Amino acid sequence: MSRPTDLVQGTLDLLILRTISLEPKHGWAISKRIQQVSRDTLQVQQGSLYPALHRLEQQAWIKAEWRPTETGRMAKFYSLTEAGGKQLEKELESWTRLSTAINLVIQEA
Amino acid sequence: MRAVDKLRLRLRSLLRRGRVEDELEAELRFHLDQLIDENIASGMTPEEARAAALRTIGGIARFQEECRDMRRVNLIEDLWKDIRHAARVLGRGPSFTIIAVLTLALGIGGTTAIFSVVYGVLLKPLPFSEPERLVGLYHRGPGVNLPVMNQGPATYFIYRDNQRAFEDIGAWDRQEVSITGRGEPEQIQALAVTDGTLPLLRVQPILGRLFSKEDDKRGNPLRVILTYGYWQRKFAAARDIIGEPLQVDGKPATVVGILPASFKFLHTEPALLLPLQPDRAANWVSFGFQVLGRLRPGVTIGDANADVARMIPIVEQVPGFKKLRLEPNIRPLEQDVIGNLGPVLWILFGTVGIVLLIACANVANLFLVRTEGRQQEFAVRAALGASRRRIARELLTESLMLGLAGGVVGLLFARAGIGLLRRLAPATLPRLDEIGIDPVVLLFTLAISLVTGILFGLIPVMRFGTPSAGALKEGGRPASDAPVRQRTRNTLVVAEVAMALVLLVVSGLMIRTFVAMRQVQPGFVSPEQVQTFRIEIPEALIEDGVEMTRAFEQIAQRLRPVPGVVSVGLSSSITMDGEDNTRKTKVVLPIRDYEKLLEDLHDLAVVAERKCEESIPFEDIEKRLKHDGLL
Repeated sequence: MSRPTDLVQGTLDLLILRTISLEPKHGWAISKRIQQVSRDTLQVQQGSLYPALHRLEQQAWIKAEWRPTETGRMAKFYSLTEAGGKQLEKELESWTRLSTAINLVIQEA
Repeated sequence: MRAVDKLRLRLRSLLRRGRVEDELEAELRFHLDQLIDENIASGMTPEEARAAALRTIGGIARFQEECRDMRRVNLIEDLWKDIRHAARVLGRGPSFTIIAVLTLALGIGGTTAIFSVVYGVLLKPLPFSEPERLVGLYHRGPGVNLPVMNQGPATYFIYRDNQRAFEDIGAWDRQEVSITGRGEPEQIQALAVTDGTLPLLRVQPILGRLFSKEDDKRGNPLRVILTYGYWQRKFAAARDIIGEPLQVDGKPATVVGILPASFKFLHTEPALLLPLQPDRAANWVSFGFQVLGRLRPGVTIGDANADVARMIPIVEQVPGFKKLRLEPNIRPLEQDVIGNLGPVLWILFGTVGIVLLIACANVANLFLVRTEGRQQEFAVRAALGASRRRIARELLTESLMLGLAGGVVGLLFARAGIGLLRRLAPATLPRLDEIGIDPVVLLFTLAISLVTGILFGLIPVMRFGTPSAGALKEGGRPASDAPVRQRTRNTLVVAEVAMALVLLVVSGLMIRTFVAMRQVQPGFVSPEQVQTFRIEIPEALIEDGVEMTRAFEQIAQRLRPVPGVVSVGLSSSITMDGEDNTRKTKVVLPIRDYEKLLEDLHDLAVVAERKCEESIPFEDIEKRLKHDGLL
């Protein structure tokens, strides 16, 4: 496998929160979804994903629940909490501001 | 809400550790299995797929550790590990641990016991509301060379009528009264107060009322207030006691109120409160009772002294006061309780403090020797990656645990010590029932235990905190011969000897004082053969002084034939019994009867021998009394 593109510091939280904002997902599904949607550009390493999930859970932004998958295996599903929803909005906003700013610099300078 | 969730999660990570760990493992295993399935789907054999997946994932153990870090449990777990490690290390050398804990316990226990006394007697505020505004009103009398003079009716009324610095002032005095007419007659302690005294102390009766201005007027019918204890003991807490009659010193009195159980007044233990009823007509020099006052808010003792100084010229219009050259001497009310006990207690506190330091130095020395023996262990652990901080933390955990264990055992010692003190109940120690192990004392013990632990733990940490590579090379040979290490221990020993010397000198001086006090001639011999007791014949029963003397003499006469009695004497006070009897002139004796009694007293050897003093003829005494305006 190729080396994953390094994620901009701090964006992993945003990606995770956004990915599970539609429906609860387990860790594997989260990493697959990010990879798929970004057309294989972004690959979240397991070594970053799980610590991040545990940190977010500890912050009470996401909550975990053991549930069966479609194949019947038990997996830990993460979903947004109310506080997590607000956090997502906040991070989205700051990301939009940042990326717009960066784009401006790149195009105009 | 989020804070609660966070706390719940943190607690879960900590308390349900097994469960959380299992879940973490299951979660990562699920991920791994998904990866393997994917690899198989892309055409690998199961073995290849598994190997590839494991390669991608890398060390699972590392993730687990990172996830745990995210859950922030490591900090607490490390502490727990340190404590368990320290307990194991201390448990491995039980003789060292026991000696260290006992040594510290003696030091901490002694300090705690004395602190509880210092706190209970000196530091704890008086049990009144806003005690810092309460003062005792005294005088200095340079004219008669007296540093502390109390008050009398003349000063009391002048001050009460003219003062501006006080919310109010009130007088008080200790008395002894006989109670008759209800069961056994008995003599009890009483506290006489003016009408302002109890209200300014913010005392509320639980039943009935306090004294009114009318009650405090001389000649008005006698009203009394019972203290809670006496009400319980003598009247079985009967609620209908209010308004009931009682014979106090043979005079009819009425109970008007009951005080709460919490009522405490300085060092007195009254059963009954009487109105003091000072004589407004008293137009002469007299000092017979104490006056206390509550300062108006914002008024300082200096202001109050100035206020009294302003009123002294009014006092001096009363004949006889001028030559006393009165000066105000207002002091915090605590002074009335503590007296001159403060310095003694602080010296005692300092002394046990030095004992604690010596205990500390001893344990530090033991600890140091022990740590030296573990040099190699530290070097090995440092080589394996333990940071300097981690090793220092472990050493400190050990010493703190020793300190705390010493504190716990010390508390037991202190409790025993305070129990003993209570049983001995030295007469000079006020507020004895307020001494005990309360939260403040516990906090103090905890603080000195921790400080002690850090104190003797820091020395080895500073010496051995940086493990030297040399320790590894020495291959386990004891390193104690090195001169540098010897120096630390020598310093400790020198400090210890120096402190012991100070203690020795201090206790030597104290013993000298004690011996000197034992050699004071009390004026009587074989005190164990002398029985004393107090009786009083109320003035209401016998008014005439001579009749009174006859009655006393008759009591003495009847006691003489009792088997075992060698001699009987009467006296208005007993030397060195610590009781301050201000009513010595109460029994007026014809000089002949007095001489007769004196003979008896002489037989008992109760009167001090005053051979070197010349005797004064009666005429001279009469002349002197007339000169002083007292006769």
